[in-house]
Amino acid sequence: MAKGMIEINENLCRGCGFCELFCNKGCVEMTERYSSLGLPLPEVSNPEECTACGMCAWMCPHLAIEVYKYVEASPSTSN
Amino acid sequence: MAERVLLQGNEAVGWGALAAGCEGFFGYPITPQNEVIEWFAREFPKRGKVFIQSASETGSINMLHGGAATGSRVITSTSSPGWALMQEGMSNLSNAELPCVIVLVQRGWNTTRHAQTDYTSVTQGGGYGGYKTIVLAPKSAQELYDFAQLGFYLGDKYRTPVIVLSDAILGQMMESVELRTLDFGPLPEKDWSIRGKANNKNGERHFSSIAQGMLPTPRHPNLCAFWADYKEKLDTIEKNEARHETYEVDDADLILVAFGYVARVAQEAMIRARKKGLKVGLIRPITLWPFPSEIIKDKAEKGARFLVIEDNMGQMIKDVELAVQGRVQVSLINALARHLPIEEGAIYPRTVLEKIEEFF
Amino acid sequence: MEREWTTGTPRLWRHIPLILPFCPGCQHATAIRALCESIDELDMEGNSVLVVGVGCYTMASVLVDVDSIMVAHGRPCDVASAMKRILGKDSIVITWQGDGDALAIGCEPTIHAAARSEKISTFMINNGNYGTTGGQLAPTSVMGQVTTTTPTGRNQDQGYPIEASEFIGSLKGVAYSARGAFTSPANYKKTKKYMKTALQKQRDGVGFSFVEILSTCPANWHLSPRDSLKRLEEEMIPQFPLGEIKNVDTIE
Repeated sequence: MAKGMIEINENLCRGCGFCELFCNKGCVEMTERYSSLGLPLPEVSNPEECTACGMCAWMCPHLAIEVYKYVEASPSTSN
Repeated sequence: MAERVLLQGNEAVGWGALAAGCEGFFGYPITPQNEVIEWFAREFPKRGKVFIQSASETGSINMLHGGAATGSRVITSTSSPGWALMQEGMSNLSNAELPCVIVLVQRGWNTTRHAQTDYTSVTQGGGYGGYKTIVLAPKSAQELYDFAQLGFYLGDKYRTPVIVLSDAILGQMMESVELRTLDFGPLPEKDWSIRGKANNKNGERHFSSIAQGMLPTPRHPNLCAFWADYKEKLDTIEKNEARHETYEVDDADLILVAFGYVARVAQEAMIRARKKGLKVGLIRPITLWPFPSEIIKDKAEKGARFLVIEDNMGQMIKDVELAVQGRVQVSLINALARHLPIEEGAIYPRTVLEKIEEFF
Repeated sequence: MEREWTTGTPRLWRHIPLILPFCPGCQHATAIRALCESIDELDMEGNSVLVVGVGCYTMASVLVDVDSIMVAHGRPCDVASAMKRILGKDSIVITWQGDGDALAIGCEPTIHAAARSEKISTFMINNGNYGTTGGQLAPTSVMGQVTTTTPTGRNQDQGYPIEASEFIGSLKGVAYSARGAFTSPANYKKTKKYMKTALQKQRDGVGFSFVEILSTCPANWHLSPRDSLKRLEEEMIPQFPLGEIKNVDTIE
């Protein structure tokens, strides 16, 4: 069960691959897809392993990654 | 009646800045303006105001940049070689539209004595980018005191650096000065100052840049939008702020044009000429930029000839010729007319008078 | 289950409608995000002034949501000194510079601000070359480094690199001097800690604080982003070792 979720903004991504390099869990992988700037795009290939540690976001030099963690829904918002 | 004291010109600058509510001085020693920096070092810290001795004139002008960006009134002073080092900073201050006052105590090229050799550099924008700054040319310690105040007012009014053009004679001379605080009227609020977001209206972020037009801002979405605004500002200043003083020009056949201390030499020559019955007048530009072209053009149309006197090789004469548009003869007395061919030499009234007599 | 944002774009990062001029793998923006987080975590948003020099990092002046001013190449320390003295001790004045800006054209302001013990914080990005202008020799280029103005590699003719943190740290007016890099998440954490310590030194009014941040420049090093990280570790860090060089609580 995934503890976190990674969101990649493909408009900001410059394809450096630091997200793939620094993810300890191997959640992110570079792909053969290319952005409008012609640069390779990453994707979250293994979302189940994400622990929401945020390392990919820290190391992303183009601020293209947002990381969320899953929390129990609070009673006030669940109904 | 305000207090009247005996002051050296360089010190009058300091008292004038103080009267204008100046908050900071940044400078580097250079002859013949050392009394200015020493005055501020003595008088500012004890009043809780800022004084920093920089490591070069490039440092001074950039410290001035920082001080001006906070919205406080700040001033620096220098002499000609230091002025050369300040040109990049002047360009940046003009682009960033930051008000401040620069006092330039001119010296003759690499001498430490008087001259008016920086006229072109101050009036034409000596740096890069094609800017202009208001230039005030005092002729006495009293005017150094007054123009320090006027400089701050005009700077704040138009968001521009203002130069007060002194020289070794004005700076070193001691004269009686009336310590009057001048009121020029209300000024726009400085809603652009960089003091931290908490100090801004609605907590909105302020941004100041020396590259206006490069990074789009709401005021200037592109480069030409900035240039258009800047041009409009220069046009407004040219229209509204040209100042001059005239002496006996109404019936004059020959009009002397001189600024700064040379205007006092010219005035003396004019008085002697009048005593001899020669119809001579004097126009003294008070602002060198904007140059008082209108009065010169007006007199040229009425047929008066012009004799420009300046303690350099001939710089202001170009502005006079431009105003005259070839209608009448424009002659020049330059620094070669000094009574001694050395740095201590000066243009004397008798030399000017001899030249005047050649016209009649 | 609900999702809660944990990491990503810092609160003080401004979203602007411009394509950022940062090449793939360039860590300028990483440094700017660390600055945003540091200012936010120290609650300095309202009284901070960011003074930015000229280089690729000039974008910091529009990206960080605090009052900021872009100034002449090399002159942030002069500008910042004056601003700090006028705004007073409650303000936080930060300069954001490159190695050329702080050590070549701006050597004078940097050294003299440090010597005067100005209560400002200077952050200097060191990528070993002039990125904006196409990769020329910088005061921090390592020996043997090929740049467009040292086509056969830096040798004795061009002299030796300046170790800024040690050099600045040797001045009495300096309260804090450190060098960090973003070669790993652990180093990101450490570098951010250095930046926060530097800002805290200023808040405490101790003296000049300085942090040098090593950064990649893949485009001008002609390396892939990953290889440039490797070069940073293998060639730059031995020349510019990471860590705190000076950390004092009072200057007597």
